Parts: sequence; structure tokens; C-alpha cells
Amino acid sequence: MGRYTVRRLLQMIPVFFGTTFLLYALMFALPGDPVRNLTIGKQTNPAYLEYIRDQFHLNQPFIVQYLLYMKGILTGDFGHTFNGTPVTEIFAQRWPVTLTLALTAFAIELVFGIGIGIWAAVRKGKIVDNLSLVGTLLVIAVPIFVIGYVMQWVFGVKLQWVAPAGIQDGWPKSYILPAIVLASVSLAYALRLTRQSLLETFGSDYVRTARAKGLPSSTVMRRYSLRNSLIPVVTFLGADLASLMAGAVITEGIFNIPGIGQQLYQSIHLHESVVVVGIVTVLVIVYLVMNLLVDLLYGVLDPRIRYE
Amino acid sequence: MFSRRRVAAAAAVTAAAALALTACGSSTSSSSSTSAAATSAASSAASSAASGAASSAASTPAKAGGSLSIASEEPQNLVPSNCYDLYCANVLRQMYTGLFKFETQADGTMAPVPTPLVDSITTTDGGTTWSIKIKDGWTFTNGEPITAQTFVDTWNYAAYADNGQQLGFVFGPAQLNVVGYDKVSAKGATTKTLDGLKVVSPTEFTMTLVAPLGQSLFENYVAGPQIYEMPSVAFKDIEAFNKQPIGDGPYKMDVPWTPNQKIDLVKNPDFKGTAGNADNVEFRVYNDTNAEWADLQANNVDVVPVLPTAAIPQAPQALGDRFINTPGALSYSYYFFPQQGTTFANKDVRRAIAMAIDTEAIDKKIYFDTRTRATSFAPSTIPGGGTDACGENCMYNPTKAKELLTAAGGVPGNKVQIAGLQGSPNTALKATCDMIQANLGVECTLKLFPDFGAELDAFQKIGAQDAGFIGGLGWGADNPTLANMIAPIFGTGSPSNYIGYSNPTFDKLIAEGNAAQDSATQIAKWQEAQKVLFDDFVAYPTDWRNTVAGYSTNVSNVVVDPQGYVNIPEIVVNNAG
Repeated sequence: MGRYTVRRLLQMIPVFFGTTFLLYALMFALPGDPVRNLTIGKQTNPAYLEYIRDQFHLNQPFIVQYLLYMKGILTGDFGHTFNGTPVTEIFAQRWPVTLTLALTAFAIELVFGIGIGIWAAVRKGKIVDNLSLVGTLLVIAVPIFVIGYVMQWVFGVKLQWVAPAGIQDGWPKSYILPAIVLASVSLAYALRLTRQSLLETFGSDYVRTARAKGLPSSTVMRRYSLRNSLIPVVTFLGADLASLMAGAVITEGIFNIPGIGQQLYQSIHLHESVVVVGIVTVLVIVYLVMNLLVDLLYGVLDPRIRYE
Repeated sequence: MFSRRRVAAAAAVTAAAALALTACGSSTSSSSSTSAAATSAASSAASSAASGAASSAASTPAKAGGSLSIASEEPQNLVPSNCYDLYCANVLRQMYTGLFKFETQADGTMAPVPTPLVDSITTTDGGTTWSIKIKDGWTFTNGEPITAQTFVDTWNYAAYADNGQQLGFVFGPAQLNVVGYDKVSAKGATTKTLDGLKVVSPTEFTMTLVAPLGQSLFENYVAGPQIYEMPSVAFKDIEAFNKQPIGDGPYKMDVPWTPNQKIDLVKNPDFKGTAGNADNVEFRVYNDTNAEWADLQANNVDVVPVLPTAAIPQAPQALGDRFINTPGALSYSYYFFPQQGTTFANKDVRRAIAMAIDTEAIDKKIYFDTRTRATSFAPSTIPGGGTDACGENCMYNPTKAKELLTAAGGVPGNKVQIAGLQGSPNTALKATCDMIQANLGVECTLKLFPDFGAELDAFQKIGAQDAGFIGGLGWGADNPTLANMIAPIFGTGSPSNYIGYSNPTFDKLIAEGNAAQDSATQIAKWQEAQKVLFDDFVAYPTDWRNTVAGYSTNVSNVVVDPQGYVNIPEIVVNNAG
């Protein structure tokens, strides 16, 4: 398993270079002159434009720009935004915020998605099951920003239980509402997946055998049904933590949370290649690491799965 | 691919936000609320609503103390000579004194008035050499005295090319044109000081210009962040200074700027001018304007200087007297036609199109009366502005429009195009196109571009054989002068003259106006220059914008001026003291 993990980690190196190159090329291909866009509607200062173009090597051909960027990264310089803030500083400020939001959302998803999923499966056809089915259908059908604005208006503006926007009240007060919104859709999927896959194991031979042996139903549930039914759920959740971070763009916008999603949106607008490439590359790596963790978890859940 | 999709998604959010808010936002009174903000514990709400935006900024402070929060976008930076957006300027105006600041006069126009730091500004030779005297005994909050040398060092720093300061152009031909600017602003320049700046004594320095300027224009140019004095520590470590600038104004920064979250100011006890009312001012950074609106309705932020478009339909009802909608902001929207190309070469075609557009209907139905139809390039808040210089060409007249177009022989292919932005709803542009189509019988479509830069690139590439398209942009002035509303975008060779317009008569009149010592002559010359633009009619202003803002029940005496600046020192926090 150790060798397998090392091999998987080594595979990330070419992925890193490939991703940065592709992203840089895509940012380069965006139409429009970023420097010019900085000054439209204001008096243009040619000396300043020249200064910015020089600073960011914008007059150089694509390959030179990319190589200079890579050289920077290998020497620990991740570049600057147009207003001179180092990308590393932006990361230090914004990743913790997004991580807090994503992990809070993930915890909500984990507890309520799996919890209610189990409850609904055990009480199949009863009121809990039916309510959760209707509820999840609604959440999946309604776009996330509608959920976001409605929740903000009801709980923030009308009832004033929490501030409608911002993180000035800290965790958990400022994060709870956006985290629920961010988690909502994934929670619905996790709930349905847990319920479905549990129901499948309930009808399987090994569960029937376990029951026939006279094992207590809680043991059957914990050691036989749940453990086996969790494999698809873990696959989903693993991939989901990464997409919670990437998907925070909309939620962070609605609730004015200064995380990585907001930065990504702004930087794409400003054509700040180095920031966009930096953020997305980190997202890709998070995704790969999560995938690896999921694969390793398979082995824990199902001892038949072995990695060489 | 990834990035493009995100942009589209985010744009969809903005559009949908408008729908979502309109759908559920008809009743939004929040009178029985307690604020969740750190700014105030309980809101003594109802009484304050009565003291509206109209109350004079000059009135004596009723109550001092308390905290207030201002919604802001993330400022680009906080170094004065590099501050070229509304958001950093709103912060720096509280932290610095400067030489002149703009104030609204009795006749409703804005004009530069000297700050308490200024002793006198005079010219002896008709506007070429200026002697600037400052008062003795002023210091920065770090104790450094403010002398003539302070100003000279700051301005040299701002103008020097390798310092990359956005507002360095103020010392160049676009505005002051100080002797020696060409030498310091060239790429890789080795000269770091302007020849035209000389220290005479600790409280006096002189500035020599290439060409003479009128007194009032000179005063307009030495107002605002670009000329704010900076202490010598700034030049030693500009990055640290950017995080926590040191100034000499009514407020100061005790803790560094928290990027993307907030900027906290506290009252400067040593300030020599009139102290501000509130003890603490927080500029809270929003990246999504709809979040500002949600926070304002919940009394969670006190002043929103620019209300989001989506909030405007409900704002008058939701805010009542606390909704500010004042005409005369220093900005306008304009359409411009390509002089080359086949479609718009005939001036009567351009006039016909302008007359076919019912701007007043668009302002009412689409902008909810937050814009006013423009009759000249400057609103009445600018000296010499607000006149009907455009005349019948800017007036909706479908019959005359059709006649003009018929007489001109129509347009090739019987179609025209207007530039729009991808991912934007383009509501007003679509309405404009429908009007052109209905009133002129000409097929009108939108030509979409990813951003304004791409639009301008395409505009500049229109050749003699191309049909071309109508472009649209907005312009905001740096100072309240008619010249600043027109010269930067229509002057020959000006870096912001995107449309390549050139008329020697126009340039000559602007220059004559700039040099005129007498204000009346100056304004008359600029008005003549403006008339040249309307005679050529390659571009015309459609709307003057309004100042559209709102404030919470926690504060009163809030005024947002035509430049978009909030009268922060004069705002009264209701529950304080």
C-alpha cells in the first residue's frame, strides 16, 4: 500500500505541469487586453500601463510568460496580482476561509445526509422516508443561487437570526447559513445514495444470513449493511469535498465570504493569469488527493480490495 | 474552458439575483430590528429616518461618537498617488488633508476650496509659475512635520515612471504639465525629480508649468488623492505603507488593512481641522453588491454609497427617506459612431439614429429614474454644465428622424449594429435597438463583445469598406470641470481618446480655455469646444447619472456628493453619546 501511495503521489507531478500549462494557455487565449481594461472610463496614464506590462511580462510571447511563471514557482514566487499583492498572501488569507466553509458544509452533509439517509432506509415508506424524498427532490430541482438568496432574505433580512452577509461574526455564526446552502445539493444526493444503497444491502444474502444467525439487529446494521453500503457514498463524498471548494464561487458571492471562489471570479475578470492558474492548480491537486484518500478508504471498508 | 464557464455562471447569478430579489422583496421594512453588527448594539430606529439626505453637511454636529460602517468594494490600493478608484479615495479622503477639496457651492455646482493646511496659492506670471504656501506646524500622525519638501518629494515620487503610480499623469500634459515631466515619465528614466518643483522655504515651494493654467483650473488639479502629502517612511517601504498609510486627516488607521474584508479607521485626536463625529469608521468590503443590499435592509451596514441596480426598484419603498437619488453625478453615458466605414459616414444618419431613441422612456422604465437624459456633456453640478447644448439632436423625435434618414438615402443593407457585452442582460441596449427598428424601419441588432477592451479594439479596426457599429461607454470626471468631461476622450492624441476623434478647432478651444485666467472666459471657451463636438456629432451623451445610495436607521445626516464620496466626518451616529 505504501508503494501504491507513493506511485499515486508521483503521478501528480506531470498532472501539475499539464494543468498549469493548459490553464495558462487558456488564460492567455482570453480575448481582450487586461491592462487596457484596467483603465477604461478613466484617464489613461501611458507610463503606468507600460509599467504594468513590464512587471507582468505581458509584452512577451506566451511560452516566455509561462516559463517565467514556472521559474517563479520553482523558486517559491507564485506571482502578484495587478495591484501588487503576492499570490501567496492571497492564499494565506483566502484558503482558510474557503476551507472553513467547505468543511462546515461537509460536516453538515456527512451528518444529515448519511444520518437521515439511514433513518429513511430503516423506515422505508414511512413519513420520514417520504418527507426526505420530497425534500431532496425540491433541493435538487431548485438552482443553488435561488436557495441562497431566499435563505439570506428569510434568515438574514427578515428574521435576522444571523447577519445576511460577511464573516465578521466568525465561526460558526457567520458560516452556518452559507454552509447549509453550499451543502444542500450534495446533502440531497448523499441522502438518496445512502438510502438506496442501504436498501440494496438489506435484501442481500449476507445480511439475511447474519439475521438468521441471530445477531442483534444493531450489529447487523453496523457491521454488515452499513459498511458495505458506504462504498458508493464514500466515493461520492470524497469527490464532493473538492467540488464544495470549487463550487463555493456562487455561495461566497451571495454571502460575501472572502474565500477563494470570490478571488477566482475576480481574477478571471481581470485576466490575472497567475492567480487563476494558482487557485485552479491547487483545486486540481486537492481533487487528486481526495481521490487517493477515497481509494485508500475502499481498502479499509472492504478488506477484499488490496493495492499493490 | 473551466474559466469561461465560471464567468458565465457568475454572470447568470447576477442576472438571477435581480429576479430573486424582485420576486420576494416588496415589503422590506425592518423597523423593529436590532443590529447584529459590531458597530452598534441597539438601533434607536424610527426617529432618525426623518432627518433625510437633504440636511446640510455644514450643520453643527448634534452628537459625536459612535461607530459607523460604510460598504465598499476592495480598493485597488491605499497609496494616495496610486489611488484611482472611488473606494480607496473614500478611505484616503478621511486620512489626508491635501491642498484643495471639492465642495458643493450655493448655486449647486462643485468647486475646489482650500483646506486648513493651505496658506495661499498664487501665480505672478499669468498661470505658469505657481507659489504654494502651506501653514506651519502641521504633522503626520507619526510625528513627521509636513513641509514644502514633503509635497515636492511626494509629487516627484508620483511622477517617476518606475514607481508605477497610476496618478502620475496628473503632473503630465493631461493636467498640470510640470516642467520636466517628460524626463521622469519615460520608461527607464534616470531623472527622478521634476525640474519644475523647487523648495523655497520650509513652508513654500514653487511649481513651474510648461503652459499657463487658469487659477480655478489649477486648483481643480491640486485637489484629491493624487496630490496628498506622503511622509518619508512611505518611500522607504511602499508596500508596508500601502497596508497602513500614515496621514494627517480627521481619521487614521491604527491597524493595517485586512484585504478583502475591512479597513478600520479611528478618530485622529491631533487633527488640526474640524473633527469628525463618529469615533470609528469601518469600510466593509463587499464583492457582491447584492450582499450590500441585504446587509443594509438588515441594518447591518450603515451607508451603501452605490446601490446595486437590482435593488433600485424596491429601494424607495424599503428605505423611505433613507434612499438617496440625486441627479448630477459627474458621469455620463455616451454613444459614438465610427467616422470611417459605410453606414455612419453621413452626419444626418447619425442624427437620425439619435433622434429615434427615446432616452427618457429608457431612463424611466429601465433605470427607474436614476438617470436623466443628457442635453450636454456636463450636468448642472459642473460650472458651465447643464445647458441644452445638444438641442434637437438629443431630443426624441421619430418623425424628424425618419425624414432625415430618408433624405440621407437610408443605410447600406438597411441594418445597423450596436455594441453590447456578452453575459450582460443588455436590457437598455435591446430597448434602444427596438426603438431604432420601430422608428426608422432599419434592422437593428446587438454586436456582442467579451469586454470593453475588445469592443474598442474592434471599433478601431473598422475600415472604409466595413459597415461598422455604434459603440457605447461611460465617462466619469476626475474634477468638476467641463474640460475634464470632454477633453480626455475627444482631444487629439489623448490616451483615453478611444474613438480616434480629432478636430483642431476643438483642441485649440480647450487649450485657450485652460489658459484663461478669468473663469467666465474659461467656461465660455470650453462651451464653444463642446459645441464643436455637437456640430460634428460623432459622439453624443445619452444620460447623466444620478448618485444612488442608501443608509441605515443607525445614522443620519448622510450626503453622497456628485463624485460618489460620502461626507463621513459629518455623519451622525444616532445612538452615540
